Amino acid sequence: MNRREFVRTTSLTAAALTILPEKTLFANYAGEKVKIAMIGVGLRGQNHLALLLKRDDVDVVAICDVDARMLDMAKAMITKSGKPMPKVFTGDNNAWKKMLQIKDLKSVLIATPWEWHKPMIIGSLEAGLKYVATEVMLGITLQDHWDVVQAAEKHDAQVMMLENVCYRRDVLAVLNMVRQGLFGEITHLQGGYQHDLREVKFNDGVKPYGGGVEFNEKGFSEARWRTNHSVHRNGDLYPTHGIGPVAQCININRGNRFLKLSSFATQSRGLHKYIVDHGGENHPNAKVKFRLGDIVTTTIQCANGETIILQHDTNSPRPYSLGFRVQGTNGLWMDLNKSVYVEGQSKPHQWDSAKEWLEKYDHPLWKKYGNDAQGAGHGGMDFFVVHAFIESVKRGTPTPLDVYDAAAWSAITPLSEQSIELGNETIDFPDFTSGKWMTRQAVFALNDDY
Amino acid sequence: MHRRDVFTLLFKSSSFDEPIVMEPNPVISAPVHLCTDGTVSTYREWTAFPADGRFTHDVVPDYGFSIHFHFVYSKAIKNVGLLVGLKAKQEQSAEPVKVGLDVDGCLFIGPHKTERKLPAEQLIGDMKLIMEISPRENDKAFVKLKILDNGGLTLSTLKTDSFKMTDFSGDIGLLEQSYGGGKAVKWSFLKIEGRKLENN
Repeated sequence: MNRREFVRTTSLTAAALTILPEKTLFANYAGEKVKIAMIGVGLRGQNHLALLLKRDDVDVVAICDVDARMLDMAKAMITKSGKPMPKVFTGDNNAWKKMLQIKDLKSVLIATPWEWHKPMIIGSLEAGLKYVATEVMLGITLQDHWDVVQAAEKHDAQVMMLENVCYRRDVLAVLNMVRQGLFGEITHLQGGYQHDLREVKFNDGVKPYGGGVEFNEKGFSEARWRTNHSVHRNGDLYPTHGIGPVAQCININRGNRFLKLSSFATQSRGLHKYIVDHGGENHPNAKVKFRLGDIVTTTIQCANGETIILQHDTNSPRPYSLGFRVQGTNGLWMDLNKSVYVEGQSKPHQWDSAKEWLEKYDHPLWKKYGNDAQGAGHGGMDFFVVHAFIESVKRGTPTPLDVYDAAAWSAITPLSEQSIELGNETIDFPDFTSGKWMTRQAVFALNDDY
Repeated sequence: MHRRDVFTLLFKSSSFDEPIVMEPNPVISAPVHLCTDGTVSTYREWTAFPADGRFTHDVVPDYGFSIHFHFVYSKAIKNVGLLVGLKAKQEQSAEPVKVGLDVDGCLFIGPHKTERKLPAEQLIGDMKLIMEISPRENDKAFVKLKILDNGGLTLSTLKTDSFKMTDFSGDIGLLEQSYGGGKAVKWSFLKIEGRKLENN
């Protein structure tokens, strides 16, 4: 699903809340509702808000944003849902701190620019919240990642990064196949973020996608902040959609861990070309020098011997693909050609269509909640990641994706930046679990619960 | 007991106003040591000795650079390599950094050397030393020295981050054994690649 479709889905979801007698989740829920606050109700935050508003086991008690236009859109969604209007915090970049003082607040969901995640996560933990959900990327520097891990440990709190692709239907079916040993011992995996973001990084300052070549102050939505990372940084800036799902296949942080990586970047051409093509060579932004290579390739070595290749490819014209490949001693899955090969079951040297395999091994979570996920963002997987967080809060249990997962996946960015900076040097991966990876047990998507 | 619980006890479950400490806005910017605005790439190469024995160049070491040195190995010589960071006469108290291959077949950068000794049978004919210096924050340097055989195969690598970029500021010279007397190392090529100031 691309961003346009995502926005369309989000809008439709919001609209459906008013037009239809929308089925709610956990209607007549008798337990204590989860009081949750939201920092950031931009387009991504609104997607989560729509899901939270559909749940009768959740009270959205406060929302916070600095963008009046986004706040108005969020408030309209809430009004249409028929749910009580939460407290609204705005005015300056520190309004979220005031919001965190709300009494009995249990949890917070953060959907803000990447650079705000670390201070907001740590601020939430210091305010006493025990459950923090954050959109992807835990921080910017490697030290940011350590700071969040150590804060979560200090406050004995759960920090869950909302890595929704872990819940993609085919991804979960393949995880099911891996766990049932279909591919044998896993040896090699691939993934990435291969998504033409040029119309996300540039717009006309009015619409969120395309229509101009503005960014930073003159841009709107993600172009206001995301593009700036492409100006100043060169590395895999968005690794978690690719790494999260494959990490689950090889139990990273639970019997396995990333050992080292090296990254390579191409020259930076696509963003400058887009500006010249759409704004003319005299547009002021044509003078901007982008550091981000068009395609960044990272190779990771794991403790149990597996290798992973990640690709970050957001500056060039191309159809969307995360480029997954999960390969073992007995066969493999590749999502790009939608194929599976299993020795002894597939015809020798011939691909099977993945469809039948994925249907046969459909994950219990999707079998149970597939209908509830209909209409949720990003093909339904947003439903599952929010559901997992809320269920963890309700039950007082650890989140299935925890702070160590978040740190290991997100830290690929600063580590890849360092590798490129040092001439593609191989960089050691820090062990955020401090040795606990050797004894931690897998908890993610073990059944149809959450 | 957590802070929230303490407040709840103190204020008997009433709301409390904790002073807000303003968070500075995060700033995304390229690290200073990687900003190359106002510079252009440059290189200089030599195939013969300069008259004064100093290889003078216009590379600004702040931005990182590499040196390629091609030579013919001979068992007769002790150490082969370069002096990097030869200062001008008025500041010669700062010693240049010695880099190269020693008589035991170990790569060295100043006091650092590889543990593994290259066997003599791998050191035959035309060899290449390649040194890459990458800037880190606070003037620190990441230095990598490699030796390649005549087929381009990397035989050994040595890395260190114990130097500053300014240690390498200055001209290049050859280690004494590399050009002195009858045991001179035959060298064929020296190149430095990096960045120079745009208006230079």
